[in-house]
Amino acid sequence: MVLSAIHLNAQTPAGNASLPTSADTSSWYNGLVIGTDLLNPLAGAMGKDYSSYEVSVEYGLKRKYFPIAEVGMSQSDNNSDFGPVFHSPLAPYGRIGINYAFSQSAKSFAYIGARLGFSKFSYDVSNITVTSGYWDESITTALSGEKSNATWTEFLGGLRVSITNHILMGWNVRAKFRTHVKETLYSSPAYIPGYGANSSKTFGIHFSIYYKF
Amino acid sequence: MGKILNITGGILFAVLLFSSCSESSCTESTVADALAVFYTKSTHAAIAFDSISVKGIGQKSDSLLLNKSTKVKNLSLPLRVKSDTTAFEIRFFRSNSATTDLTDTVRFFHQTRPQYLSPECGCSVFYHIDSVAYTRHRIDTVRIQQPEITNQNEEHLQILF
Repeated sequence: MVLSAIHLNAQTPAGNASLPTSADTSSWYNGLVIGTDLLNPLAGAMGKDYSSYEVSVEYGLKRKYFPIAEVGMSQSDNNSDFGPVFHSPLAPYGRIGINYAFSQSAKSFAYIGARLGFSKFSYDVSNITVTSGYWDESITTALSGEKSNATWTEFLGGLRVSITNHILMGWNVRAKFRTHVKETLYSSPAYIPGYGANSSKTFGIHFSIYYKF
Repeated sequence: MGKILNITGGILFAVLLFSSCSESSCTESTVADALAVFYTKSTHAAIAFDSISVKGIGQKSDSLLLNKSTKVKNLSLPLRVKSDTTAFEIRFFRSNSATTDLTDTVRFFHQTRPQYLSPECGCSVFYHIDSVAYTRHRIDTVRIQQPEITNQNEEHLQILF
């Protein structure tokens, strides 16, 4: 249905002269757009172990290229089935990249994009219990203030729709690939702000609202 | 109409995909034992022993790690988590190459490092071997090859005969 919607919109004739048209690519400057993600702030309420709050600033060039910067704060709490409790307080992250509108109509456009992401954060882990079965002994300990950082790349595709002359909404899906994460002597972070669960690859979804100046 | 389809479809798509993401399972080992491999001192060739018993010194129930095991080429030795010293008694039973039973003791001095691996795998304990002391009844030399004992499958010690 979503793909059909992209196709249908790509065929819609540009009827409103005040909105951007696919042919209107003569000007390099097409305005500044700020946005915020509406989905990930609700992640905790939807059963996830994190919440993220994010704003984006992008700049339209020839209505096709959109250099973008995204900054946010994210926190995570994870209770493992094995006992340890991971807590990462709100920490900043950022991404820079570009979107390319490959299909557009008067009121919508579909795009692909790429990002470079980075984050610096700290975390605590409590209730770390390790056991030696042979020696029949165990200890329980905790880690506090473990410091880490990470970088990653993202490739994404999405759709954006004009609601009014200044308001837009849209979603995008992202494939994320971790390029670096700092592990400490005693741990590896369970969660990377702005990236997600600390695995070599993951994915993310944004549903955002934008204001176009 | 197209706009409504786009927005509704986008919301549904995003929420469904968002909600359906499930946690992955553990794909790494949580075991971090010291791996000691047997070699001859003269040619540095790998060797196997016909009959060996191994037990931890101080183990509460005196249970054996190996009990007259045959064709033993290496030992996987679990270190203690509540102590910085772990000792093992290795008994080499009489065989073609030895006319009497011989017993050696190998003692590890180590740092214990409890680890948080991930939500899927939980915890483990890694070690750093500071030094090793040993008797030389059957053993000639014990070399530390890799002092960091983690959940990677590596050769940590070479025991030469």
